[in-house]
Amino acid sequence: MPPEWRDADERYRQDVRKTGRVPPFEKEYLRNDGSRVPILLGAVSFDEDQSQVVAFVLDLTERKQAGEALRRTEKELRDLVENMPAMAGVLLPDGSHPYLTKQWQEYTGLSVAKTDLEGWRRVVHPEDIDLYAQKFRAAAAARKPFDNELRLRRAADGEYRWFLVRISPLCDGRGNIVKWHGVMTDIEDRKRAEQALKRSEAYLAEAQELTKTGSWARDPHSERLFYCSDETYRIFGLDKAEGMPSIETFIQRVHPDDRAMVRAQSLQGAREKAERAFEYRILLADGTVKHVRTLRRAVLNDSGEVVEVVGTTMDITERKLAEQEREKLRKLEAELVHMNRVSTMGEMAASLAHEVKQPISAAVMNAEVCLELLQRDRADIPELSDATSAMLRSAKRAADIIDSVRSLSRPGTPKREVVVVNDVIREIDALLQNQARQYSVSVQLQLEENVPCVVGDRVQLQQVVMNLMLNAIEAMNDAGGELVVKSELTDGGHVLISVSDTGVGLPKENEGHIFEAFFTTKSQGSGMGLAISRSIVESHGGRLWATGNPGRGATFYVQLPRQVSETA
Amino acid sequence: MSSSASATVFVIDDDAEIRAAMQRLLKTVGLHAEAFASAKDFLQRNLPEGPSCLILDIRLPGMSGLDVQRKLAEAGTMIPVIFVTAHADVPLAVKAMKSGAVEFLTKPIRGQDLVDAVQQALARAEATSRERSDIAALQEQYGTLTAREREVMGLVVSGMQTKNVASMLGMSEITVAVHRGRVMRKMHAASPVELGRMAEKLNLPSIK
Repeated sequence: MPPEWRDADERYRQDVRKTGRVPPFEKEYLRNDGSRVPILLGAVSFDEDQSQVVAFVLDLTERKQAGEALRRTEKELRDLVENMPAMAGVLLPDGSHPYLTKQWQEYTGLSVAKTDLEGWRRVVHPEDIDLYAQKFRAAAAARKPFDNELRLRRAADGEYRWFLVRISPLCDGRGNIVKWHGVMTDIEDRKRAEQALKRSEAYLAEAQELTKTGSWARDPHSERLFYCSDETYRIFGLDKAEGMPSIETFIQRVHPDDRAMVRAQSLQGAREKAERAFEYRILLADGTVKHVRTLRRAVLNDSGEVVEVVGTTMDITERKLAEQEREKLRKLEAELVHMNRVSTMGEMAASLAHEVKQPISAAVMNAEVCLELLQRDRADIPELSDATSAMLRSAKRAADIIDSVRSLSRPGTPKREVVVVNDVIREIDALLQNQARQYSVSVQLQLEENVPCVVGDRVQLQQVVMNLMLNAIEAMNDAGGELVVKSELTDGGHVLISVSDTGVGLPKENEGHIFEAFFTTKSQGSGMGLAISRSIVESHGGRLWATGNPGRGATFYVQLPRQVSETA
Repeated sequence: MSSSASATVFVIDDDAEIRAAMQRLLKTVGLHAEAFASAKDFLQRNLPEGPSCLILDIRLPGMSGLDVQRKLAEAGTMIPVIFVTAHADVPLAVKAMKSGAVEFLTKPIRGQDLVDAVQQALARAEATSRERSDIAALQEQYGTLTAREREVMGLVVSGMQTKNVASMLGMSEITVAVHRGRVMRKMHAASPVELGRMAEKLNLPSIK
């Protein structure tokens, strides 16, 4: 027996002798190994002199251990509840709180007493109280648990933070609510992240709507889509409520003419790792045709297998329509440019006929010389040779003029070729000889030999020179005059062509309008010549302008960028 | 034509090929041609003594063919002009012929037509020059007449009878006859009719 129990043991012994009984009490015995054994001991005597005593000794080891475990469990639970990152409490139907964790009291600054009987209301955000109260009443009526999100004020700084409140009723056998258990979890950070996410999603959706670009993600191995943005639904005219569409649903919306291509692309997409873009049309149920451009990219795992294909589909209908419109305008412009050439050639038909007649006339005379010389007894061979060579030159000149006329009359899309500026001027000069003669205009060419080539459409550049020279000739048609065409390389490295006349000069009041379409000072003129010339020069990256000459007449300048060597 | 050897054909055309072809063509028929690119160049040249003609493109840069013709006339240069043109422009042709052109040819010009026109022009030039020398001789003869003789000649060629002349001049018919005889002799006129023609050539003022 442990020594501390000796006195008590002696006391019980005396009790038995005095009262004949010992109420049960606990004590300990020592085992041989020195460990203690808790026991319950009691005794009673049956005779007067207490000579016979019945005693019992119960080994309490197990019971003791069970109690210990219970106490420990209780402590564990309390520790857990008091330390978990949440607040908890128990609420009785009378509005009192038999238990509230210390977190509650610390966060809200409300003691249990202050929390009781609606006292808690003062820490709930006023906007959130009604919904909570409503949900609580409903839960009470249904005897069901509920949860609710609300804001609670933090005592430390007065800040309201979002909490998720989960409340469950506890009922007795008859179904009466005995008490409520509640847990409140701080979800402020999650809520903020959610809001940030929602905002960024809203921004993304906005951006998708603005740019008409939908995004999606698909399984490379099946028809399944993982993700499909709202804008994607909108572009394809699909209803989001009908659930995630399959690839086939999309393909059905593709214009029948493009369907095979899109299907092939879709199949290829499962294997292909490279990024790819393709354009096709969508045909909606109401007959609307949309042009779209899809861009897709494979997402690979660590071992390089395609695990997902992500992509965007952009509605490019507006761009396409604008492109078509531009193309139409471009064609119209080319036609206009061609029309200007053809009508100019038409106006000059008589003059061009003379131009061809001139070498033909020379050739005919030389042929007659040849015939005459051949009829003589002794042919004059050097003279015959001269006449024949002259005939050949004349024939070639006639052919060249016809070629020039033909190339100027022919329609065609503008080309980009290397053009020798001086040749352009010489060819047009050859065509306009007669026109100049008709108005008693003498033409003088001052072409610098070092003028570099330009890149552009030869016929269009000829057209510009022709328009300017014809204008100059016409400006002098009253009294004749001198037309000087110059070419030079400017200090700035540009090619400059100038056409000056001694004619009527620029109209004083309308100097600024001469390059506008339909502006004309001539009795017969479409007013398109200068407008078209300027548009041609500008499409070659150059400038066309005019100045009045100090004396008489005007000078028109065409500045063109020189050809930049391809190898440079 | 014998005089063709010393004749000169002038060509004004701004087209070098045409100039060369014309010169070559005229050479084959034994004609010497001088060619000019512009009227200005031609006008600076002094015309030769012998007969000459001018082949002129009616449309020239700087100065038109008709302008050249007018300028020549103003300067008193009597050179026959053959106009050529690349196209038949009727109003222009009429204008040219009215101003005294020999011929109006359209390009391409047949060699024979050109040669014919040139021959015609040269003949005209020769006739003109002959006429001129005739007139010069007549003028010289006319210069030897006295004032009285000129009066008598003027009245005689106007077809007036001797007695009328006598009464008009206040002299006897015999005196008139003597003056007339002297005039006929000095003027080398075989008959009064020839004297009349001479007066016409001299462009004497008619007295009627």
